[in-house]
This record gives sequence, C-alpha cells and structure tokens, in this order.
Amino acid sequence: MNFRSQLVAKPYFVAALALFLGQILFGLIAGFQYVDGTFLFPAIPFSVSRMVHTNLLIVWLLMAFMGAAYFIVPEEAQTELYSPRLALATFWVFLVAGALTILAYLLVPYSDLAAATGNAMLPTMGRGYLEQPLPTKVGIVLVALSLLFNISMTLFKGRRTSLNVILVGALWGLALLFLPAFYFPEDTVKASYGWWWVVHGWVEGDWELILSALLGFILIKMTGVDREIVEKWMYVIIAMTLISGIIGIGHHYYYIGAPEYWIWLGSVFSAIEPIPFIMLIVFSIRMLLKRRRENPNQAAMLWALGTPIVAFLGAGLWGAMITLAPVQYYAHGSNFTAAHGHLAFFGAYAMVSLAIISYAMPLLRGRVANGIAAQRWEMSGFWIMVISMLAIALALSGAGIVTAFSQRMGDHPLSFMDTQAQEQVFFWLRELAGVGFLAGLLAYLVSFFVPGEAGYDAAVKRALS
Amino acid sequence: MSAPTVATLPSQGLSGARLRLTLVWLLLMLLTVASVELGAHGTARQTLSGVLLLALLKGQFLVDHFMGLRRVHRVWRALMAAWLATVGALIAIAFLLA
Amino acid sequence: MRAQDREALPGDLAIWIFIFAELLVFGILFAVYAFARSAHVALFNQGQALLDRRLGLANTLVLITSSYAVARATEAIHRDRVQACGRWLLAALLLGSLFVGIKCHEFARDAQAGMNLSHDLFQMFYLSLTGFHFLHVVMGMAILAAVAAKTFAGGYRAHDCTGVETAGAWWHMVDLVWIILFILVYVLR
Repeated sequence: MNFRSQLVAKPYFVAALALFLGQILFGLIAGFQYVDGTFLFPAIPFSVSRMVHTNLLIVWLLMAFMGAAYFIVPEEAQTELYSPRLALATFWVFLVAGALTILAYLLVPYSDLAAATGNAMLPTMGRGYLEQPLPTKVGIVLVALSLLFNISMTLFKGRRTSLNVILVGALWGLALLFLPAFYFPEDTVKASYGWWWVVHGWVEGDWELILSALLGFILIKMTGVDREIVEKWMYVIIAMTLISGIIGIGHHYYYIGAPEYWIWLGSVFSAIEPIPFIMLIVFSIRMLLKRRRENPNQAAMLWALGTPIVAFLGAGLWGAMITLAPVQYYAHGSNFTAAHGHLAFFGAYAMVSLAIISYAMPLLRGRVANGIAAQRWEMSGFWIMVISMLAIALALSGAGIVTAFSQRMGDHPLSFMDTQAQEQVFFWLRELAGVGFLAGLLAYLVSFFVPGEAGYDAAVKRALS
Repeated sequence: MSAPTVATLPSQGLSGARLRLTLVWLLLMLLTVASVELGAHGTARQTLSGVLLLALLKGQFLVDHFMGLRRVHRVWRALMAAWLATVGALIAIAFLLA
Repeated sequence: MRAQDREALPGDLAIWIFIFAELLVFGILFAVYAFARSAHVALFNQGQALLDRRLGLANTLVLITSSYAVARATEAIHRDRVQACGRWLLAALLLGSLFVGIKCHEFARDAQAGMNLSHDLFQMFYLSLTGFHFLHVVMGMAILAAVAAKTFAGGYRAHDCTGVETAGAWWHMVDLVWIILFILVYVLR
C-alpha cells in the first residue's frame, strides 16, 4: 500500500466478509427448508430466507468490488484518492441502508414493505435479486454515483493505466446496467427483459471485465511480470468476453418471447462463453510461470489461481450446459440452474473478491503478508470452501437431472411435490456440503485473527536456511 | 520477438520470398475461381469433395505462407491443419447426411 | 528443419490464443450451419438461390488479395522497408474497404429481397454468419489502420515489428474464415 487514502478500502472489506457470513447462514436456513419445509415457519419462510441469501450476496459482492476500487484506483493512478472522506461516508450510508433493508425483509411482510416504501408510485419490487424496496434501489444508485465520481476524479488527476481505465469503465457499466431495475412495466415480456439485462448484463458481461481487471492487478503486483504483457492479455480476454457475452446473453430471449432465431444465436454464443474463462486460466498460469519474484503471500496467489479455474467450471462449463436450448427446454428453472448459479457466483465473483481481500488486507494492516500460521488457516479455508461448493453444485445438478427426467420427460411425469420427495437425498447432501462450506468460511475468517506476519526478510531467511 | 533472420538473408533470397508470396496469391485466386466453376456444375453432393478440398488446400496455403506458420514450431501449423481438417470433416459429414 | 532453426511465432502469443478462440467460434458456427442444412436441404437451396454468387466470388478475391498485401507488408518490415510496409498496409486497408462496400451493397440487395433474421433458418444463418464475419472485417480494418499509422510514424523496425505481425495474423484469420464461409454459403448447394 502506497497511499494513505487506500485505507478506506478496509471497512468495505470487513463489512463484505461479515455480510458474506450472513449470506451463508441464511443459505443454510434456506437449504434446510428444502428437507423440512416447516423449519422456522412462519418466522422466516423460504421466500424470505432465499431473498436474504441472494440479496446479501449482491450487497457483499458490491461491497468487495467497491473496496477493491478504492484500493486499486489510487495505487494504479499513483495518487491519493480524490476524497477519502466521501468514500467513508458512502460506506456508512451503504452499510446502514443494506442492514435496514435486510431487517425489513425479516421483520415486515414483503407486501407491507412494498406499500410502505412507495412501490405503488414506481413499481420495482418482486423480481429475483432485485427485490429491494425503492429507497434502497435509489440508495444503490447514489452510492454507485459517489464511488464513480470519486474514482473517476482520481483517475483523471493521476496516471491513466489501461488496467485502471478498464476497471473504472467496468464500474460505470455496473451502475448503468443497474438502471433497468427501475423498469418494471405490467407487460411481463418487457419486464423480463428489464430483469434479464440487469442480472445477466452483470454476470455475463460487465462483471467479467471487473473480474479480469482485479485478477490482472493481483497478478501484476504478485508476479512482477511486465504490465504491458498483463494488459495485452486483458485486452484479448475482454474482447472475447464481449464477443461471446453480448449475443450469448440472448440464450433466454426466445423463452421471453423473442423470435425463433434466438434459440440458435443464444445457444451457439453461450456455448462459446467458456472461452474467455479458459483464456483467464492460461493467462494466470503463464503469469505465474513467468513470475520474477516470490511473493510471501502464498494464500493470495492460491486464490488468484483458483478463481479462473472454478469460474471456468461454474460460469463456463455449467453455464454452457444449461444454456443450450434443448437442455434448457427440460431443465429450465430446476436445481440445475441453481447449481450453475452457486458455482458461478462463487467461482467467479466471490472468489475474486476473496482474492483481492487476501492480497490487500495484509497490506492495509501494515504488513507484506500474513504469517505462515495465518496463511495455513486461510488456505485450508480455500480448499474446504472450494470442495464444499463443488459438492453443492454436484448435489444440485443431481436434483436438477431428476426433475428433468421425472417431472418433465416421459409419458407419465410426476407432480412437482412427488419429484421433490425423490430428490431429498440430494437436498441432504447439499445441506451437508453447505455446513462444510460454513466451516471453510470460518477457517478463512480465523486467519484474520492469527497473529504474526511474513515479510520479505522472513522469506529470505527461510530460503537461506 | 521476431527473429531478424529474413533481414540478414542475402538479397537473392528476398526476391525469392516475394516471388513465393506472389505465386501463392495467384494460386489462391486461381483455386477460388476453380472452386466456383466446379460448384456451378453440379449439386452439392456431386461437387462436395472437390470444392471442400480446394477450400482446405487454400486454407493451408494461407496458413503456411501468408500467416507464415511454415517456419515456426510444428505445433502451431498442426493446430491450424487440425482446425481445417475438423471443420472440413464436420461439413462433409453433415452434407453427406442430408 | 531442426527445431532450433525454426522461427518464433509471428506476433504476440496472446493474439494467437485469441485467433484460436475465434476459429473455434467460427468452427462451431460452420458445423451448426452444415447440420441445420442437412435437415432442411430444400429450404437452404431455395435461400441460396437468392444470393448472387458473383458478389461472393468478388469479395473472396478482394479479401485474398488484401491478405496478400498484408503478407507483403510483413515481408517488407522484416527488411526494414518502412515506407513499403506502410504502403502495403494502406493497400490492404483499401481492399478491406472494398470488401465492406461490396458486402454493404449485398446486404442492401438482401434487404430489398425481403430477407430478415426471422424469415427462415437459412436467412438467419446467412445473415448472422456473414454479419458476424463483417464485424471482424471492420475490427481488422481498425487494427490495420492503427498499425499503418504507427508504421508511417516510424514505430516499427525489422527487429521490432510484433505489432505488424500481430495485425497481420488477425487479418489472415479473417480471410481464412471467409474462405470456408464462402464455399459453405455461396458455392455448395
């Protein structure tokens, strides 16, 4: 860390991890409700636990992205942040607004919340991931504008590296792509498009750019490879992301109501969406092999390498599988989609957030890297979380396949509830894997409280001994 | 990155390189016209093998001489050849199935 | 030729990864076209009859010649002939614009004939395949223009011409793809 104002990233990262923990706890509740539908009813019905689970995901990822931006942009621009005070104030506004929203979900019936927050005036509530009441949505826009103003001014007054321009540009894209969330007409076709463009414009397009920028930054810093080489790779990866993503996002248009040719275009271009992830894997491994120095923060390196691999599996492979039109015809909306959602969100976006946190937090705490003991905790956390998430994805895929075969194919399809009963074993496996994931997350969090630090001195001593 | 081997060759070899490129260009033009002529005289099923082969041949010439993969490590040329062969095979299978 | 006598890959490794990714994309599109055709031969024949083969042929010749010009530009820069390299790049660029002009004329003709994406399967494939390729031509021209400008500004030398080679590799790929696309859409029916 070279600039004092980068310290403002710290509360963002801490809050992101706290919200992450909350997300996992509600995930466990929602998961258990699959095996026991009356669990915690009526205090926390499934609709609420699911909503809190997914909304916390979005909020903590945004927290982590913002923290990453406040950390990276000044470092890349070689200047102090334009206004650290604004960044800190924005943090508190976002945290309080986020917490109030979650509390409102838990304490007030959703319809009352909608009535109390002016949803009748400008209807926006009710769609998956975008359930936030109007004031929260407006708040998100204001918080994003504050962030963008702050980092854009920093960018203008400092050095303009390609990586920084890509990161700031992608964050502008993130904010702009949120705007269709305010578009919720009565026409369900148009409403579906609005919803689709927010969520999938993020995950299949813009967020992939943020992902490449964060990974690129970590790799430049950790391997000492020439910036020129890293940025060249970023350009081709981004070009491929856009080539595949912009049309690939259409894999669902036909089912929304667009003409038939979207079955073809959507399928073909979705099938090539894994390519940028393969390129990311090649890129990170090459940079690692070409590294000019050994960074003592081995844990961060593990995250940086693991991210593209799990992202390829979850976003690339699982994504391509479920977006092929014939598969989607039978598996749409089943747990196969949930398997993809879990592995993709974790592999691509949660893991890259944890990677930048793993790299930046020791620096923000005034050390080059954590001690060996702390890194061991962190790396154990990495493996337990990754393996548990793979198990979750496999269990959910199993459930999805049962749905496709028992409920949707054949001459005598089972009813929904009968099918769910058949899938119990998968739901139990998923819940067990979820407990495993929580254990991994706790191990990861423990690493922050293990004292000791590793500097270059320690590494040199170790190498010489 | 680029080895200065070509630049250090005697000028005799250079005109050779330019001549080679020009000949390849003329050949590609010729093969293009030939494949169109061939395609115009028969159904896809009758002319498939000829037209497809001409196209793959053109592709490999382009890869070898214009892209310059003739002189680099074999893996790259093999990858290109494999792409051409795979695409050609898939097209052939599909057309024969029709 | 022994392994150590072989030259380094022309251009940047990253662009070659990108080129192979693009070839994979086009490969998938070609295969999907061919298999879709096998299920609807009559429909595809009927659609192909609407196309003017001569325009396709003209564009193929233009693109091959343009590719030749780029190959000459690369050869010229290897001999340190900066001006010659720049002129060949300009020639390639002009031929690229000719391709764009002919293709636009063809698209206008298609539109007049009432073609559109949702009319039938052939028109969907024809328009999206050539349209997708068209975007690659435009992108390739942007790259060529940038490299040509840098060449005339003296930015490349025989020992430092990765930029020219990289742009060239991309442009040849665009040509290679068109060679297959041309026989698939225009010739074989």
